[in-house]
Amino acid sequence: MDVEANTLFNGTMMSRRAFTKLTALGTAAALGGISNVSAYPTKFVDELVEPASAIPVDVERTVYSVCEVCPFRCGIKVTCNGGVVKTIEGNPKEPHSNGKLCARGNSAEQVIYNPDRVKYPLIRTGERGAGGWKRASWGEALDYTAGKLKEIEAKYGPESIALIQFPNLMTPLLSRFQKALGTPNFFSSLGTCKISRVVADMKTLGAHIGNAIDYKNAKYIMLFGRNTFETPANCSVQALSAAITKGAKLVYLDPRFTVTASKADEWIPIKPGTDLAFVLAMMNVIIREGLYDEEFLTKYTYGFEELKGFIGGYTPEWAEGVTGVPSEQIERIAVEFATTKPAVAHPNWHPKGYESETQISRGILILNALVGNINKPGGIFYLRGVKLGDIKPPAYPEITAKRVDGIPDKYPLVPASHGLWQLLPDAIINEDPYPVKGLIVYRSNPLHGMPNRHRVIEAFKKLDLLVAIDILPSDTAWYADVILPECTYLERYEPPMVIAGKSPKVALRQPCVEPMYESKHSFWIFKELAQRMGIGNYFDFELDDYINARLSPLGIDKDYFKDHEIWSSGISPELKGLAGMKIKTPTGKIEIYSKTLEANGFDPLPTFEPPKEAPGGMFRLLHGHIAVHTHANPATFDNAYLNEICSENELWINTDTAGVLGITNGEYVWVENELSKGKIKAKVTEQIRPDAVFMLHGFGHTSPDLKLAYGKGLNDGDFIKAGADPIGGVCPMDETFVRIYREG
Amino acid sequence: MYKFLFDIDRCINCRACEVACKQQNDVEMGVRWRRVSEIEGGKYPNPSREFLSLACFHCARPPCITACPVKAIYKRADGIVINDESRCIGCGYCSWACPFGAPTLGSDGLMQKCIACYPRIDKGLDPACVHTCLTGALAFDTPAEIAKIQGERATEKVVISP
Repeated sequence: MDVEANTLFNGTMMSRRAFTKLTALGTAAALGGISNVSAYPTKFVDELVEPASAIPVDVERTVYSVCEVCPFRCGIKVTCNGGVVKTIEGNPKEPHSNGKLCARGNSAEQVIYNPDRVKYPLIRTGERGAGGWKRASWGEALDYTAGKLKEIEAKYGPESIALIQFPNLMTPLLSRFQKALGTPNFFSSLGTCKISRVVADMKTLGAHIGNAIDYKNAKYIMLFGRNTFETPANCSVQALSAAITKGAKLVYLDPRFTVTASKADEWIPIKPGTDLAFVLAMMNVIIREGLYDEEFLTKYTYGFEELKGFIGGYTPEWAEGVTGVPSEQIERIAVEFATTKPAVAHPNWHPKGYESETQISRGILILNALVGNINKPGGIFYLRGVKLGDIKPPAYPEITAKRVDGIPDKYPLVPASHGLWQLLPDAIINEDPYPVKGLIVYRSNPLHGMPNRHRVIEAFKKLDLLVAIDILPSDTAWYADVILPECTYLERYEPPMVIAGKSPKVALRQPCVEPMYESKHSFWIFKELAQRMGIGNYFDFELDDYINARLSPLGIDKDYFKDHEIWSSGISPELKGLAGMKIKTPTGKIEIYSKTLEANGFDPLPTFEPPKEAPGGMFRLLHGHIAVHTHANPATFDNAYLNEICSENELWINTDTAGVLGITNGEYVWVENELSKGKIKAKVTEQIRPDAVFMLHGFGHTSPDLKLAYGKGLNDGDFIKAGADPIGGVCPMDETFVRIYREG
Repeated sequence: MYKFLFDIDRCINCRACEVACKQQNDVEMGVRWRRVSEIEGGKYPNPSREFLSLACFHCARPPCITACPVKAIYKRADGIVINDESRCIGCGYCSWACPFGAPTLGSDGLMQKCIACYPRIDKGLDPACVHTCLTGALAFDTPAEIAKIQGERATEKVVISP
């Protein structure tokens, strides 16, 4: 027994097998094990509490649900028995997974049975960030949180409370809480993600189309840094692989030789930040050679004549000087793209993290329009969704205060539903335009995900209250005043998920086992807080009622998913062009020339703005992902299965560059700029341009209670300055320069 | 008789197979029954990366069986090679004999390796690694079926590639 408990707590993981054994020993034994745990240097983990048992435990059950190890949300099929999750695989009827899961999805048991989970509410005792906590009852923690929030509201007004969340299925309910509270300051993490791409889509196509690319039917695919094979987009990975297998040509532009590059027919190590120049030169050739789809452009686009006048100077010869790619290669690719049908270019996610990012995405969208490949097989397409119902809230209080991130005055086109979170720390520190004193962070890790960690800590220190609602003791939770433990996705219902696509479907996240320890559903947390804040009337229903209200337009309720893997709209997945479609732009057409951009004082055509040049002796720092990890969420980094595969990041540095600097493969080197300094293992490689260095994003966690992730690798965000693309708002993260040097 | 197919052209280093194996078989930390390795080559701007997903191949004539002094390793009628832990003495000879390093000694001192998810096979399912493979780089089937898949893929490339 003691051996078991020791293994459990001192080891790096709790396997499902160990958990099963432990629960079989019963509460007394489990608590008995705790006496052995004094050496376990945590402040979060003290004891285990037996789960309640409303969900049948003794029979083997299969539950169709939705994954949440990463934000892509694949459909899953979970087998449980004895109150324990046994196996997890993809739901074959759900189109995100098609029955197959990535490494992250397969690692689910290390999420639910992660010994690092926050097990009960905690209230800070010592200095902020010093790691002193006292265990609190839920009543105590909620009273404390609501009491502090009310104090802040009374002193500074409701606008002094800000909320941050990673976009998820509970977002509408947190937003309800925000609106009932009467604060405009609601943020998602899109400011360091795809926000500019969203704006580019909205202003060009009239709708955001995400990853809606019909790879499978494409014969020629261009990816501008969209490292598909190392993204969470499971179905895109499958479709791109299938397209390559079927013989589609893949042209991939990226300063780094990623996995996707390794599968491409042509890898172009373009000069960072110059993708738009390449795209404009392609357009120049296509227009000069008359290879565009005239009928499509006349019928469905606005501004082609203006583009013709605008594009003349952007010759392949000009682009060669800017991008470093030979003009003949650009010319050849342009002709291939325009003459191979169907050809498609991915408008990217956060293309390169430059101030001109919106225009880069617009340029690629326009390139697709030039060959007329929109809403056709093998092209980009408009997503079809499903309209769900709602429980109508009582009238919200009027919000008169402006947002602290400058939307809409300074950033007229950025959607307030996401905001620009990277600008929040400065607003807090400078109390500009007013003090923000309370911050509720839900399923997000801003201390790690926002740029410039040191600045974020400074901002946190100015808060009167920082609340973290989370599963793991993230870096942000480590600095919080109160941590409210949410249960994991395998332990809860959530509002239904619409799977927009060619033929929309709806899936439901359903609990497989009871919430472990004292963790609670976030709906219950929001509701309890709302009641204490005097806004309980906005939450006078249960989550079941809300799910059923959402599903009611489909003529089903949540029990439908007890014996159905998925709800299907039955809409034909066929792509039939744009005839009869309403395009939601001011002109009702795809806007090559954007009337909205023009009206807001921006360039209506995608003019190329050169990226900043690296100062002497410095290198551009690029960042990106690997297929086993995601973002700043510790769920993959502090996960035994995934940590075993990739536990720390390395600095990719070109062999020639490393030679000049005297750096050898595998040694730890210093990375430094005006914001930060840190050590990281060097990966000396042929797979990157000599003028740039690269590190994987998401490493360098600072919460000591993330036992596996703590202190491993370096956080790229430490070196990145907060800023915003004036049109779409994204933080220009790749405009980051660092010095690299050896010890001493 | 069954065998694995691994298609290097399709492997994208996503590691789904590795983790599916671990969760299916509760493989302890530090031991991997299936492992993806990377082979880097070339010189900038023409580098190369290849990925290899390897586990026990369940060989036709397994050297591990020959090497085992206590006859702990055996081949099932369907070709799956299994180690009987009750007989294993943890000498490690099998791991020396295996050209792929598939047998590994676990923390209990006994040999463990890929069992081709035989409890799944016995239920008519495919191994967890094959089941989850996003790109079809892995397959597990009879030699005749594997040959058929290989034939189809070779034809596809020749005929459809522009």
